[in-house]
Amino acid sequence: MSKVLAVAWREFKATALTRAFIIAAFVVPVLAIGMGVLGPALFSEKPAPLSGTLVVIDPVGAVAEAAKTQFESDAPPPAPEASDPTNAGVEPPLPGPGEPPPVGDVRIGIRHITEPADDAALDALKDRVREGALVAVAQVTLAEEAPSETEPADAAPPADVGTFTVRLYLPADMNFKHTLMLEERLDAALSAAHLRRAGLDVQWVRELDRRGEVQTISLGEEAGEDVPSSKLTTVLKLMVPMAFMLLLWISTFVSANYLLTSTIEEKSNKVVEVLLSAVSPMQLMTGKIVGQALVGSVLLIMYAGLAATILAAVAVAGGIIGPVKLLLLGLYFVMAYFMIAAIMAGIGSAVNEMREAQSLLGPAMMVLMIPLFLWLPISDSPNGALATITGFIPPLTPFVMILRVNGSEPVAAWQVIATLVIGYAAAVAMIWMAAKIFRVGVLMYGKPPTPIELIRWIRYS
Amino acid sequence: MSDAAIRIRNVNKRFGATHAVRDLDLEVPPGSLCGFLGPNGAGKSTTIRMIMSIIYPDSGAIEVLGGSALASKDRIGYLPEERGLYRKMRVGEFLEYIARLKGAGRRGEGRTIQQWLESVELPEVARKRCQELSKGMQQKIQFLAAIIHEPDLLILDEPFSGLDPVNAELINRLIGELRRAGKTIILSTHVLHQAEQICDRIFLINHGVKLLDASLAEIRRAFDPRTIVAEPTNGTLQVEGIDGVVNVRPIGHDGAVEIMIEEGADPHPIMQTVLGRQPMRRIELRRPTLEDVFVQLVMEDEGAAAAAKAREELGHV
Repeated sequence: MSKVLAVAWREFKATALTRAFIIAAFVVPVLAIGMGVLGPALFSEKPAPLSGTLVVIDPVGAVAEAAKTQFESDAPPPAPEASDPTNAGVEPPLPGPGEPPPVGDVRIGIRHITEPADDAALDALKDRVREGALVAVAQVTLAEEAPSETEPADAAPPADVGTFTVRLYLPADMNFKHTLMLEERLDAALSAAHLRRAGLDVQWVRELDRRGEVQTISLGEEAGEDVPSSKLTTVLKLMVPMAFMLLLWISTFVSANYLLTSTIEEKSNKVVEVLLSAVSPMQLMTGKIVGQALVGSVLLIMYAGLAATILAAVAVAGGIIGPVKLLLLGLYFVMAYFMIAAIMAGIGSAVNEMREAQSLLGPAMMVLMIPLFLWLPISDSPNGALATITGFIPPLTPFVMILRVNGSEPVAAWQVIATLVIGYAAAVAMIWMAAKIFRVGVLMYGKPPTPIELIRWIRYS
Repeated sequence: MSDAAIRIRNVNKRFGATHAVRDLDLEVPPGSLCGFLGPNGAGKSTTIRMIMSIIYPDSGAIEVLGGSALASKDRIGYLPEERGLYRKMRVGEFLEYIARLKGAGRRGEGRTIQQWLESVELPEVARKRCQELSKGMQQKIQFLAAIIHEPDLLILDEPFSGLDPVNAELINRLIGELRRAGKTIILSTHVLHQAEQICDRIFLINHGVKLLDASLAEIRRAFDPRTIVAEPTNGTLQVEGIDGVVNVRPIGHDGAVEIMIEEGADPHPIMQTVLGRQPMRRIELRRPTLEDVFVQLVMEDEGAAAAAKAREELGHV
């Protein structure tokens, strides 16, 4: 046992106490957390202040009036240029009511041009936008429409409403948030203008549109355990199985991959026979698997542990995952790790370099990718034929069962117990076969074996 | 319980269609230094790996140091032919790791890692990474890894390969010290003259079959070439009329010749007669070299094997 522990400790030390690993295991999560904290602040950073004049060419005046309402909370823009010929018919911008601007540092004043602008006047205004003297120019047109003969009279809008269209001219380098803000406010102004022309009170319509929401409550097994549900918990119910399966998949594969590379390294360094003079192949392989399990645990704690804690906390709070499911997660994780580790140890011992390992890993990976492709049907219908059958097929068992037990329907207890028994029996069998391959493979050099030759090796030793 | 350090009884090992070791019987006396010889692919490494319980025989029994091979693992030192180091590991850490795997710590072994390094004239390398060492230095570290737990039985597979004459002599000296300390040593090597100088006993196998198992004295007696080497100071050697001489053939360009003598003839009167007829630069009774014995036995075995194969093929027709 002490020899197994010695091998395990060396394996852990050689993998986990390296600069590359420490960077990967500690610095990356710190950066990820940092981004998580700083990200929203960075993304919500306000754009540069925007102030100036928005010219609205609106002979009808309805949209311009509504736009003034939209922008009236903004502080007053700079004073209009008296010499500007395009200022004819322009109403002075409304002074700000003294309250802080609602969107960033936006201070827009509206100049309403009541005369239709010909091409020359419009071009002159566009030039002033390019020069930066104006924020933008909005040209409003009204297309009068006759009521549709096919629609019932009570469903048709009033005949004289027509359709307002706004053509907005902006500088090419305008910040996209400013662009969106202008479009949004003008859209609201269009909507208000339409309502007013239809003789409706805008405020009244808005009041009419105000409504309550559908509240969902998930009933617990007993009274008092009811949990209010929300869109978030509904999304979590869908995503949690996938998240836990990915957690399982990534953590097992990363640590098992270290096992693969370290086995290949020992073989290519020719140090393996020195080791085998001191320990049996089974002790060596067990030590390596245990050592890399420790490495995997560190990774799990650093990467997956953080995510799992957050996810589990949210999910438990939402009644999605209980302690039993978390226990099952642990059991299926250990099962998955030993299965994948057995595959990696077997393959690592059989080949001479990483490139050769790829050809043997290919078929194994194809099988193990199946749960990734089937997560939606399995978690959506955890008791369906597909989910039930694949749950009983090692090495898919732990991955499929993680999806099933966290899926939308409860899984029969006997199936959970049966898959645990079958899965652990399969893991032991895989370790046994890997040990057989390991015993022969670590001392074999030259052409890498085919899968059939691997089976023959199991029979040799 | 056995009085032999290693006792192999009727051991067989197959790898698919290849019969690597065939009905092998071998007994290594305790405290001896035995040469384990054979051409490439003869089955030496397979036999050694079975002694080390790295692989197991298909049939037969192996007893090592009075117990099973597996139970005796910590009492055996092994320098494999395919040897290596962890490239990025520090030398001191590597030796500590191997010593721990061999249970040296548990037995409270006396010397420190530094003392071991000093014994191979590498006192400064404990903190260096293995990849920083020259090939010769790495060889010496590998040798230390084999003996650091002070084993009772030491198996050395090509211990001199890759070593310059100075380092080869150092390893040779250490092997001598271990032998004087009463350790049993098995030396597998292709450097036959070295084996001839230091071994008490020789095992020779080919195609997995033992061809020779005898002490050097027995081998010299059994493979006496019955040849006198003579080099006259001038002229041609005159052997006409000397009883017991079969023929004479020249060797080299310095006038030296080999005088083949009859089976059962005493070489000493022949040598005295030759010396009385003309002055000699040298005259000596030739001793069989291990190389002669090796080549002779392997060639005979190859012929026998080829004949057996031909017979087998004819039998199938």
